[in-house]
Amino acid sequence: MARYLLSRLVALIPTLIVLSLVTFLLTTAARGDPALLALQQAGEIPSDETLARYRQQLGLDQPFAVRYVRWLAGVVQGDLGKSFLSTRLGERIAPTLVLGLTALALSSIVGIALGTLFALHRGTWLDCGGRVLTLVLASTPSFCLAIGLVLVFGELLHWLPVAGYGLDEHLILPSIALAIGPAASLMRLTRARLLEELGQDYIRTATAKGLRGRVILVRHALRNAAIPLVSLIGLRFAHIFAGAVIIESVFSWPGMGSVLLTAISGRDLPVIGGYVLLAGLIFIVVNLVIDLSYVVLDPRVRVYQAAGR
Amino acid sequence: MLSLLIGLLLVACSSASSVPAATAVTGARTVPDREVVIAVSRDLANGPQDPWFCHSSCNVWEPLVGLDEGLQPRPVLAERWELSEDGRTWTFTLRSGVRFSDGTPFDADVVVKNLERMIKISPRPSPYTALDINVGYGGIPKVTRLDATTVAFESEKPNPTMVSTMSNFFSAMYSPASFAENGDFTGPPVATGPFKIVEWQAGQFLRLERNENYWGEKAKIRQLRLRTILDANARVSALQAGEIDGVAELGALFPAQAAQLQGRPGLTVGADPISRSQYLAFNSGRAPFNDVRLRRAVLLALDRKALVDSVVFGYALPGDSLIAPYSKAWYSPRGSVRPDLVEARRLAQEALGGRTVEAVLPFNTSPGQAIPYKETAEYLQALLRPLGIELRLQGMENAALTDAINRGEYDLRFTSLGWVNGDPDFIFNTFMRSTAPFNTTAKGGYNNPEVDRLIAEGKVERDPRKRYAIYERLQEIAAQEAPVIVLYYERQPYAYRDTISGLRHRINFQPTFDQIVLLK
Repeated sequence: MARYLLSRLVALIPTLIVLSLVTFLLTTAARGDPALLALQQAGEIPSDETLARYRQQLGLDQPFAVRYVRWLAGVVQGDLGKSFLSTRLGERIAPTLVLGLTALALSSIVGIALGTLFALHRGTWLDCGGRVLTLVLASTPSFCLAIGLVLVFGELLHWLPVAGYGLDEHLILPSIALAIGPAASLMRLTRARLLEELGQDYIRTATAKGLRGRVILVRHALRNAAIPLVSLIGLRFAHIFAGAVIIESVFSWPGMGSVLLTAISGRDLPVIGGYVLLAGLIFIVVNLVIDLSYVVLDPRVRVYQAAGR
Repeated sequence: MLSLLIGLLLVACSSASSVPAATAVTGARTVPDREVVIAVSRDLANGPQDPWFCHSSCNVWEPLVGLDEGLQPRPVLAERWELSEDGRTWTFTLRSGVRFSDGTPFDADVVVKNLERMIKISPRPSPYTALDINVGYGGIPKVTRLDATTVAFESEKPNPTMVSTMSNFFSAMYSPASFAENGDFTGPPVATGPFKIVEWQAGQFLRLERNENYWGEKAKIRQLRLRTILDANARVSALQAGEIDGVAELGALFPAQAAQLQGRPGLTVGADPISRSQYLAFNSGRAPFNDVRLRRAVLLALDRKALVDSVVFGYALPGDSLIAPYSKAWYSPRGSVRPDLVEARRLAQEALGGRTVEAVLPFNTSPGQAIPYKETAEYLQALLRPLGIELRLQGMENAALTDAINRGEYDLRFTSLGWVNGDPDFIFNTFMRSTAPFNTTAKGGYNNPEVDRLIAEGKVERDPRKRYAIYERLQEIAAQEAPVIVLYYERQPYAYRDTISGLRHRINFQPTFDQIVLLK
């Protein structure tokens, strides 16, 4: 297990290097001179002399390789690069992670719970109505949901704050807006997988043995249904992370998403590069955690690993 | 017993939430002394690397020279100024008795240190106004302390407009203790304005407190929070949900939103003129708009009153001369043009001979635009079709648009300009000098030797009457040759709830935070 973990971690390094190189290449290839854009932020067009002096200050007069190596050296030392527009990306990581993980937890709990509920009440009005509702919710874009939530719970009922950051009631609306879509798809998969498992022979055996319904459900059916669910949760995290860019701007959540939008329109290369690198790192770590959870959930994976490595 | 306990608990909870933490008695009424929250559309502080740390809108720092509502130089930290015989040296007498918010005195040494820093870090970009010492002082000035309250600024060449070009941002004064070795700030700076910064969270808020050491009339509220809410709809939602007291500052309330909120109970909605204008610029360097007749045809076809009513719901002053009428010192009616569709068609017919030409109008589609570029572009498209000009509208993201403009890939484009210093040279130098970045880097391509000569003369002319004549002539030429057309002079809408009063905008779009009165 420890060796497996170590090998997975070592494999991260080339992935991240390739990721950073591709990002750096793409941002350089994009139209627009970052120095000119920075100086032109307030509308004034700088003189050629001023522009040349500023390009030199930023090191933009250096060749690509030199700039890339300098940036990478900074990254290794924990410095994501000085923003051309004096944005500080580091301060924005925590709010995005808080929002993303809350939404992930919320969607997992609600999705699995509802999926189980609907599976157990298969064919009833509860199941049918619930499935129609979740289908509608799953196919509504998250920003529409967000605006709807703001209208109802903010403007109409005055129950919850509609904008701003805080680990209190400020977290409720944005995380719900982000969680609804993933929760709905997770619900559908949980229901389908549970129905499949509940029809298996081993469930009948367990029932015949006289095990209680709850034990059968949790210890046998859900556990066997878990692997695709965990995979889906991992995939959904990517969606949540991407969706956060929009949700953050709707709720004025000061995360990485809003910074990314500004950075893109200002060609703030160090910040864009830093964002992609951080996002890549978070994905890779989440995937790693999910892969490791297979080992815990499924004995067959453990056996395969013990035999293979 | 249990029910009694629950009852007591309920009473305790409800009374705790309904009693304000602190109260202040003003006259007969009791008003809670709470924090006032205003939503703004952008971070009004940009951090230690920014040349100014925070925008003048924060009411935190003050300049030596400000601008009055007619955009004329106004004494702030400098009480008066004088230009030497040779036109090269300005001598400033500083206001005495001014102290920074930390109690330390403001004097001539402070001015010298501020200028030393500015010279050292120029050029430095900022989302508010880029610091370029050449723009503010026409070169690097030699700054000398004459005595505790007198400072001399010496330029290499005669520089009679310096008192205007250095106004506001370019003569912002901070306590030298706030500067780091490399010229960055060490943190939120100490300055002399009616408010001081208590806490700053990028992307979230700026918390301000009244400066009790303020030299002038002190602010009426004690605590102010400027909340950054990037999304325009979220700002209005927060206002309607009662989370904030008001919405103000540049771009904070869009004209369409103001029109919608107008008349809602419990809300005050208004708009104030600000010193920024929206323009339509031509690529005069290539066909079809290298033909002055066609540029003038566009100018004559445009009914700017109708444009303002339809695209910004009347929340602007229709364009007229390149110099805005609120600048009473420099505006001339000779620069103004009445719409004349018949003459416009005749000119277009003459220039095009009945052909139809295609012209490209790229515009900004990046999110959060307060200016309705798309609507304006569509308005122009319909307007110019009968003249034989078929506009091809190209929505583009901000950086791509800037790049396209700098490559000259446009025939018409929108541009805006904040008239930061109120001097007419700023406007004509920006738009009409043949070697200005607007005409070279951004490919405006306008070139008129007479204009270049007048601009050079106007910059150094010291006789106000002769100077006025020069800029009157330039306004006239602008109306005839139309290298750029002013669409409208902006007005910035604002809205606030009945919890406060006194929130307006000064002409440099600085909200009057120091005038806010807390009502409930």
